[in-house]
Amino acid sequence: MSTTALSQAVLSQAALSQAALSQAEPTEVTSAAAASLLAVQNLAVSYRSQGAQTRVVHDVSFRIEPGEVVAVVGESGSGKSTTAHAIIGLLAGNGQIDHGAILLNGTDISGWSDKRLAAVRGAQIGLVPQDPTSSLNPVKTIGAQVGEVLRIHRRGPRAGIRHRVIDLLARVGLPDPELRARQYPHQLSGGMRQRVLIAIAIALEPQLIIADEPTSALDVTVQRHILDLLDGLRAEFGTAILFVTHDLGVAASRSSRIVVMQGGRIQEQGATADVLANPQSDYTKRLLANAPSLAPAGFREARAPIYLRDAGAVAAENPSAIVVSNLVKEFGHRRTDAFRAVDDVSFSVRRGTTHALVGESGSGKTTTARMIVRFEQPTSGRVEVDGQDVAPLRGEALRQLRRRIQLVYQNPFGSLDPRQSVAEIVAEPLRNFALADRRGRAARTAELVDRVALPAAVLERKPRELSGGQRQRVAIARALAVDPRVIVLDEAVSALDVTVQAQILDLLGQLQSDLDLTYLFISHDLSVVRQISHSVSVMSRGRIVETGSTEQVFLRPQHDYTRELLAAVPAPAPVPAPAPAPARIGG
Amino acid sequence: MTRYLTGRIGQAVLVLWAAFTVTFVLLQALPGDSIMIKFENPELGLSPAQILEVRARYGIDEPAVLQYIHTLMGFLAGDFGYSIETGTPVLQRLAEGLPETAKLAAGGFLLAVVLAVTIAFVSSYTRFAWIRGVLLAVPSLFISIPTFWLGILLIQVFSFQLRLVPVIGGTEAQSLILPVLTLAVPISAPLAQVLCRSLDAVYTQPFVAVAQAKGASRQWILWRHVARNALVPTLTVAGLTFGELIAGSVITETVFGRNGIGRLTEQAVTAQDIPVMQAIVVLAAFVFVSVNLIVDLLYPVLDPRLAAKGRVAV
Repeated sequence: MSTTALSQAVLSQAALSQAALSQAEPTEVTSAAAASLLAVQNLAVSYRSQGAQTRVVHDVSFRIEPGEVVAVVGESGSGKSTTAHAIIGLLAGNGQIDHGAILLNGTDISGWSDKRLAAVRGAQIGLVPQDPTSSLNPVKTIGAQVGEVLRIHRRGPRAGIRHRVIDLLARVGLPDPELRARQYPHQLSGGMRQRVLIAIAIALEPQLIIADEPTSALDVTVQRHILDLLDGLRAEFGTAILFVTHDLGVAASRSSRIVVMQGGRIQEQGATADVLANPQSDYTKRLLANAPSLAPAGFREARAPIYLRDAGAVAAENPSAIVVSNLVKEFGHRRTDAFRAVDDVSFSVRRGTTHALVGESGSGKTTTARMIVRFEQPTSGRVEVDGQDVAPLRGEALRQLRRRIQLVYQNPFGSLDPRQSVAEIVAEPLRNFALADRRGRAARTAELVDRVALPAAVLERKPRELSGGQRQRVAIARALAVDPRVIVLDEAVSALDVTVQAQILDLLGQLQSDLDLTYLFISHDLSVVRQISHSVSVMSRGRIVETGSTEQVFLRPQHDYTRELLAAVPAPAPVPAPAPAPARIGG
Repeated sequence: MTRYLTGRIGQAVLVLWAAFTVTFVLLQALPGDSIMIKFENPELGLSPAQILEVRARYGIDEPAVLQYIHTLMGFLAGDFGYSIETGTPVLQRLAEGLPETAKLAAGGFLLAVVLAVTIAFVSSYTRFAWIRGVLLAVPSLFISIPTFWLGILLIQVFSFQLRLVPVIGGTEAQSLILPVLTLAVPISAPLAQVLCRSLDAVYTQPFVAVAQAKGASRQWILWRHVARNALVPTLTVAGLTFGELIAGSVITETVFGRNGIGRLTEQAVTAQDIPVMQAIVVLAAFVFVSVNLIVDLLYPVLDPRLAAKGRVAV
């Protein structure tokens, strides 16, 4: 292939000039490292902010052989993305490599300037970024953005570029590539955009692709297709892939070797099957235990509520906390272009249990939840909360509804006022409903913060001083302040790392049994749903396709869509017979 | 698209009508009577009957509602009435001033854009933090300078001290240099500020990192990715600064003694020449509304996402 030959030539020339210039710090280059496609040796990266240097990557070393898939796994703040970005010199402006070597085909590129790295980027190393929605320039056509990488590296005649672009778009499985090339990013779905970004990454057939959380922003079925695509390309072109992910399930199913990072250090690395079957470091063990998709099965059974034991009480009480019947929501002004976001949805939730609404983005699950808490007015249908029809409520009656039903949002960063202290945030509902005087509020706030297992010291802090998990605890404490009967959790744990996620799920379970709360749990993450919910409704395109107990839906799915969803959950590849263990760095 | 266009033009017409009406009411409510001021002057020696006749000719003896209807009909037919001060048609006075002001405003706006783009792009492209720091301070300085003071200062320095530009006489281009500069400086400030900020915001977008990962150079990224994305918010501000352009031309033309619409405004206000004022306000509103209509129509050209939204929203 001429392009590969050319890129080799460029690189070897670069290697020569590097060797000529090499008065820079001598790094010991072992012959094994020189033979690897990529070898990261003792890499240390730090960020400078307000005059202080903070080291975020410490002495990281690993290797990638040609055609190999290596997964770097870790939680946010583990330094995994920083490491990946350091490899192609894309650290943020205040980041710098303190020491260490990054050997690409035996050449240390760690000290190279942007100008020199430009020849490597795209040609030798491709990047598939994290968030496909914002990773394409909104004002340029897809074709122009794919063609750009060919134009920058001046590969092939100008006239041939259009043709190459369409070939590439077809190669990554985009239907109707000629049309796509003329379209703008906003006209494509998230999955299609990620395919475009992959097309850009493979355009020059690089030897290495760095995939930085390539699927974390995508729905689970789309995620599987994208991962399959990357696998296929690897098999076809022999491209090595460096997979950066927080999802142990994805890492387990797609990589041949795993590097586990925590706090900027490598905790453990080795063959994927070995690490999963026989983790050496405590951190890896904990990560494995917390990963929901890998957790051993076990479904929550709704325990018989107390009132069921007393026949008289049963007759007097409504066993359902939420009853939704024939709920419809249409958007759009005219009848002709009205879009049915929620289409004839009915389900009920028993008091004291958790009901999950599962579906991919655009399935209408969030709109349904917003109608139940009455942030949206239903077009038609009935919503009963605690026995009262809330659909026609307005004004003061609607305000009073919020005392019985509360919402916890997905984003723990955006849902807390950055200028308020935690005490003010938690006390605000008490003030709004005039539930206590100043002293009573302070006492109740302290009690609530204690309830969500936060130290009293956080009361005076601002949200930005808290971690994501702590913020979500604050949001839960705020929701609990008015003593609601029902809490709607809209993707409430989706933005959190697995270990934090497990803690929040524990907390939610604890609160539910202590306070007899009913949860409506909105999520796209089936593994989390499996852990927390008693019953499940699966939504697709505004309709509920299947409802039942969690056990029934997960073990005996009736609808094709449910089966497809379940099949798409990344599961570890079947573990092969233990091979002689390769060298492993324990933590 | 046609529906969107008719809707926007309808809105623009409504705004013009509102501007006309509000001005009319305000001018009616003004104390004093310009005709009385002018014609009751004993030196003219007009009899009360003659004054009444003059009043009738200007149509001010009618009830306010009838006056309103007559004036509005006149405006719709392109007849803006007669100037009280000179007795000539208002249209003629506007036509005399308009080319002068158009030259000044166009020059001022162009120079403002050039200044703003230079400040923003150089500050975002430079690798030297101190250059960036200095450039980012410039807009705040520019916006704090009063126009009249800047005009006088420029005449002092360039005409009297350095004798580079003649104060009186000189070619037309020469006579434009200082007024254009005076007008451009305060207008460039908000443009530069918004452009700087949007450039910074666009640079943090993930697609910039993707472009870097493709191997694009800094110039490539600035021109082909960042610039066009940063333009949309700047365009909004550019449309709004046209109001400032109109206000600025009053002062600039007065300071530099140019006979444009700005000067005419100043004279009309001093003489309480109501028909002229009415026409100027409507003219200014017309320019402002048209410019912002053009700006609105430019959005979808610059950002295809807005084209989609425009179609859905209307």
